[in-house]
Amino acid sequence: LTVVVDDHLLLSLLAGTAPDLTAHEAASGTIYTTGCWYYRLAKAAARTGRGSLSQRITELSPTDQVQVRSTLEGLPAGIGLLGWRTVVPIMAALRVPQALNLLNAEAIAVALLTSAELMVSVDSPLLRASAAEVGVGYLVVT
Amino acid sequence: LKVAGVPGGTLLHVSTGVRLDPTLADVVQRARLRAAEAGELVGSAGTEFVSPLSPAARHAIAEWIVSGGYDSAVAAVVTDDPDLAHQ
Repeated sequence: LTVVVDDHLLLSLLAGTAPDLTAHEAASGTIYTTGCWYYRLAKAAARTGRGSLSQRITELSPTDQVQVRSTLEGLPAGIGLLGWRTVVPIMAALRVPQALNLLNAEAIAVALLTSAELMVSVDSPLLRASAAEVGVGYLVVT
Repeated sequence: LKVAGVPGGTLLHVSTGVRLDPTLADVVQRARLRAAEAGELVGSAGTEFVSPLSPAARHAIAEWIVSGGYDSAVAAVVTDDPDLAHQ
């Protein structure tokens, strides 16, 4: 199975704490994410202050700190990520009943291109409905 | 729409019989060719993904998730940028 995972599941894969279904696909299938989900993860990780990731990793060794930053700055090769040159034409050609924001349009487009199912941590009724509209499988894992 | 509970998640599996709009299908097919030519497609199934992080680094991230730190950070991000929000 090929799946497109959201930012939360992507982060849990990196942490080795992904839900069973996601971990199973990582072990036996093909994993993609989207630019927007990756962007959201990177922006969240770049925040500073109390409770931030940057605060937590200061407790790690310098080597581990570099490893965390480099992993977030360049996703592991096993995670597929398609460029805008490829994805935008599909996003532009989507015709669904309700307008999608950038995040959801890209998710649908990447799933269509890769013949994947969407695997998300939070149910989004609009994304779910739009996925159904174009025949993309949709799976919520917790 | 078929709805089924599966261990660890909820499968909301759509019909596979949906026929794409022909224009969209053509765009998707051309994009697939471009992605393949650009080497953007990851390897075939069977290549197990393994986190490149050390156990200590994985633990730090896991703690960040469990503590709610990630969700809080995402909430702040989407407040500033609705295009990154769940709809």
